Amino acid sequence: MPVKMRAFGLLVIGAISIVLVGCGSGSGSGGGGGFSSRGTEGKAGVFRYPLPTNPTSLDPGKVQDGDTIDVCQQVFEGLVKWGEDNTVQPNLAERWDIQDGGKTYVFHLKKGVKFHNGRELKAADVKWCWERVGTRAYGSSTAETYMADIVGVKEKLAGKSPEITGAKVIDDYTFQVTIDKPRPYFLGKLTYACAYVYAKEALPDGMKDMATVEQMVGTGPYKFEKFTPEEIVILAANKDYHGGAPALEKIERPVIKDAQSRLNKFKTGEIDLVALERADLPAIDKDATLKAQLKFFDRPSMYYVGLNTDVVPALKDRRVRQAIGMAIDRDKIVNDILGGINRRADSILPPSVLGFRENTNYLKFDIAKAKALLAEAGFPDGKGFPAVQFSYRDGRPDVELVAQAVQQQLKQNLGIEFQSRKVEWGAYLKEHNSRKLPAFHMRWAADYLDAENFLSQLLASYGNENKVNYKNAEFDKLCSEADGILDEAKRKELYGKAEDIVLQDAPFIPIYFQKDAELISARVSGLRESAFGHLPHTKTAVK
Amino acid sequence: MRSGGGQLVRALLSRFAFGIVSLLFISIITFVASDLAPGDPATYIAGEKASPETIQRIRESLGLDKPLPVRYVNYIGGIVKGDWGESYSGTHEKVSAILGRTMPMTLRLALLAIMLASVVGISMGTIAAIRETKLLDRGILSASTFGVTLPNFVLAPILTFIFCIKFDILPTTWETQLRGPLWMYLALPVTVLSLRPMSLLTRLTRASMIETLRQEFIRTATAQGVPSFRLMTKYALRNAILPVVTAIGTTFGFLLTGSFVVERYFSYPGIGSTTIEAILSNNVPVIQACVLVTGFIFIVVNLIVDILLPILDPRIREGQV
Repeated sequence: MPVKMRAFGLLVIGAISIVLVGCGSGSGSGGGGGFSSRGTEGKAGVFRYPLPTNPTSLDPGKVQDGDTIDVCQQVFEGLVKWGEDNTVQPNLAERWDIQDGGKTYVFHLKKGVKFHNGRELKAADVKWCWERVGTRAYGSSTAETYMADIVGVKEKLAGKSPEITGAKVIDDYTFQVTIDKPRPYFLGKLTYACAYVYAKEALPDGMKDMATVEQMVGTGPYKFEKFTPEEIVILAANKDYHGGAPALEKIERPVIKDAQSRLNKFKTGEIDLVALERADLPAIDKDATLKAQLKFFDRPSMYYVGLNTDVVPALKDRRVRQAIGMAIDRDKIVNDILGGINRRADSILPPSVLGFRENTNYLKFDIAKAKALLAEAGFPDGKGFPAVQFSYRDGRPDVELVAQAVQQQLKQNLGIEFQSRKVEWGAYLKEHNSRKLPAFHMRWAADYLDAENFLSQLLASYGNENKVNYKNAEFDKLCSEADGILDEAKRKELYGKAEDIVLQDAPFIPIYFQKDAELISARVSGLRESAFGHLPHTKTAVK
Repeated sequence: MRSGGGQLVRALLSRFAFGIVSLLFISIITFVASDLAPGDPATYIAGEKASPETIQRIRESLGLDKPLPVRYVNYIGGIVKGDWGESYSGTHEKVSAILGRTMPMTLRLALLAIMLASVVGISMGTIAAIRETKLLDRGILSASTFGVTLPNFVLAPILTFIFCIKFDILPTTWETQLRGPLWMYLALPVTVLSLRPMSLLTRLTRASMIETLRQEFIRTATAQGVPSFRLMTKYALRNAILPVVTAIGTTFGFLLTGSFVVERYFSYPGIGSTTIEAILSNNVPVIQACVLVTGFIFIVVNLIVDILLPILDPRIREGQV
């Protein structure tokens, strides 16, 4: 029996030793203050802010979510970039000529731009990267959205062409791009990550995603120093950056998946910036120190209710759609239900998008008028109005809150039944794309900051994203004219007229424009903003 | 005795074979379930605006266009050769590499937590049993009730507030470059994780000890003048501990697989937090591997308990129970 006891004892000792292996590591450099200030001495020049998930992809050809793009854009660059005024600015291309009535772009590359490995960037590098992203087998999820205007991209993605015929190397510093028709917003699309340029010699297999920091070689203000999955991404300043050496030494992006832990880290001063969840805001409002560091940012995202004009007979009637638009109390939704962060949407076009207007002829909240319109359409007090299926996607708490509010307001204000229905994302997307959903609550986020991306794509009868079957000849005419001319003032005027028409026709009821909230430490200066988020940290400094 | 040993080996072998069959069964279920679940991974990866063509291209690049049985056979074939496939997300890390870096982290957390829980739980339970119905017993019993009912996601923020924000003596989260000794980073996660098992083991030990102490042989031993400390440890606890050991085994299994709340809160890069992220992002190869490993752990832990019990109790070994 003692033998057995000893065996058990050995097992326990074994377990303890396994656990304690590695316990000796850890530097334990005691700082002056508490634990949080340990190791921060001499760390001015290091900008720390968290990633809320493991980076979804560190390959520019596939990256999609804003948090990971914010990592990639420090390292990789494209021919053009967004500036602080939300217009397209030169980057790897120092200038360009637009020829052929807007169908051909000749880019003149900046000379002496070096990859992080020291080699100079040439036009052939741009071509190689684009061909890679356009290859079917590579499986980019963004190439079609952002690059399909270029002649030959669709064919290459379909596997029908070995080359993107519209992308040509003229000489080492000249790169010519031909698109299918004049598109004044085309350069905005080229700012996206899938058109970034990187050093091909660093990639052992172009068809595989970049996997290690050695393979991620760009021209940007920072280079990848370290990536530990699910733990941290560290970027080091590129002192030879063609736009001048950045002010920071390093950027550290620890992966912190829990929102409360992120906020705690900000409170202890261990991170310098944190994006907030809506639920955090009331507490921050009560804390003067934190409130002083709180900042809001307009985002080019519109949340709306879509009313299909071709599925349910009742919704075919413009008066019914107008009544619905007038019966939704958007101020209540924005202020009471969503905590007052977002901005009430009085237009389809969000702020920062070309063509945005402060004053539109949107449908104002007016229950009496809404009831009158509904009665005129044959449904006095909602009598005889058929129940309408009202769908929204799963997994977005705010979307659910708003959908329920809309359902309840329509019931209360008009006596009509919108039956809300939560659908799993994949299934929702399928139904949405079928253009058969009678009514839905959804978001549209800008791909580029142009009215075409909203009005023409979402609502013109020729638009790919018109899921409400809206068709108005005059609206189509205005949009298609504005889509193809280069005169910006004229375009704004045409889109303005088109937007007024569609707001009154009400296939879309805009509810709110998204705003993001962030806490930014007073140590941080020089952040540059665009509608899509912080621009690369070329001027950012941390005291 | 010898024939008893042979029986035991046979029993263990059959348990082992049963374990393999269970794992195969688990793998089929997860494979089919992830296929039947609405919304395939390609749709998720393609994002909010993807066209059907893009989704199809991604599906092809992931090999999801092949029929289910073909994919299953390839998958199992891969696992046999040690190839668990690649993650759909991030840098397409090999799943074996993900398991390799996250499993030891979780193992360390779970082992420390179960050890803390066992030492404190068994001691507290024994003390409470000896002082049954006295004030000390009442105190331990109330504390353990509190411990069983207090969820991790409540305890973690409370301790973080006290130790990290208010007094600033411990780190709020795990960090890649440690700024202090390792124990500082483990103190809070281990404490939070161990609270519930600690309370359960306290209650279980107490109940089992009370029952044992009422038995004839204890009274006899007391009458024969066996010193009371020796009596408690060698005679009473020895007899009372069997159900506790079984409980430690199953609890350990739950700690290994159920530490995701704690891991996520403390940014501890273990398998729990990886599993949750994989589920949220429809990262099927990682989900499958995590489910299989979870199943494997439960089978192994149960096997170990089966081996330990006869060592502790000769009656089981000799087939008397």
